[in-house]
Amino acid sequence: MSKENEKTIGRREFLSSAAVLTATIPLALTLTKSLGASPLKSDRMPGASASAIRNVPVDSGVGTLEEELAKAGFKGATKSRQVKLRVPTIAENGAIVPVQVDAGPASKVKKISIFIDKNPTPLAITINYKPDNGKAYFNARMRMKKTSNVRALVVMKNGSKLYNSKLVKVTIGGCG
Amino acid sequence: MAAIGKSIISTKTRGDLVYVRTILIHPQHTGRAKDKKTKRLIPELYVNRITVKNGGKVVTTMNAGAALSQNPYIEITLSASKASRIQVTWRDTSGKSWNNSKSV
Repeated sequence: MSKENEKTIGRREFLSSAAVLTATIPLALTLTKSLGASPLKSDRMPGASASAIRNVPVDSGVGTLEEELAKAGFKGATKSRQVKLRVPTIAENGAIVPVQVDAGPASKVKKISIFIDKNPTPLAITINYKPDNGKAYFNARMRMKKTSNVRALVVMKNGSKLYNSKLVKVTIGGCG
Repeated sequence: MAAIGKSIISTKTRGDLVYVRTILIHPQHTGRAKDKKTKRLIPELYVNRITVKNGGKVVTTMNAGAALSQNPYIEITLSASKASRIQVTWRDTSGKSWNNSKSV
């Protein structure tokens, strides 16, 4: 018993000694520097190229929602029921959320952009249409991380912008 | 593991529209999921560009992020009078691309 006590006290003393602290912290930093990752991102694959893994911390996304909306030209869009957006009210599985957009005749539509507000990358997909499409229709299964709005922005050929958005509640997130 | 890159196109004509539905077998790694065994992030590998051609001419192009589900499923329409041979090309972030075509 006393032997064990001696051992544990010895370890504690060792670990708390200032000398060890001053030795390990810079050592840890240099190790992580050489691996190319910050101490907080120790689970990145060592040696992987920067292009293979986007060097952004999880949950910050490539751009914020505002940035991505602005880039896609959301400013000045009017909410319209002409943009038929069909999404489930409650998505049981965030990895497979059916999203359907119908924006009328394809001869008038230039493109449709779908945004999932609270995803790490809010801009989900952009579809460019031609008159041969008949109808500006799109249906796909998307991933949603958590409960958020799904927006469909329709840019018409004459420059006007319409959008519609609906709230989808997600019970299990789907971004992995 | 099912063959990555295998795709199926199915078409259905309803009135003056042909509904083109297509699915590709692809893992769609978002780059944010961890491998359960190694505890490391799985690098991103997802479909980022889909092109639909009709009779050789490009009809629809799509630029996607990682938001498409695993084994991505897409459905669009084509005008029935113009639809002949539909070709769908999927391209992912690694640069690989897969083609499939179907005559209407």
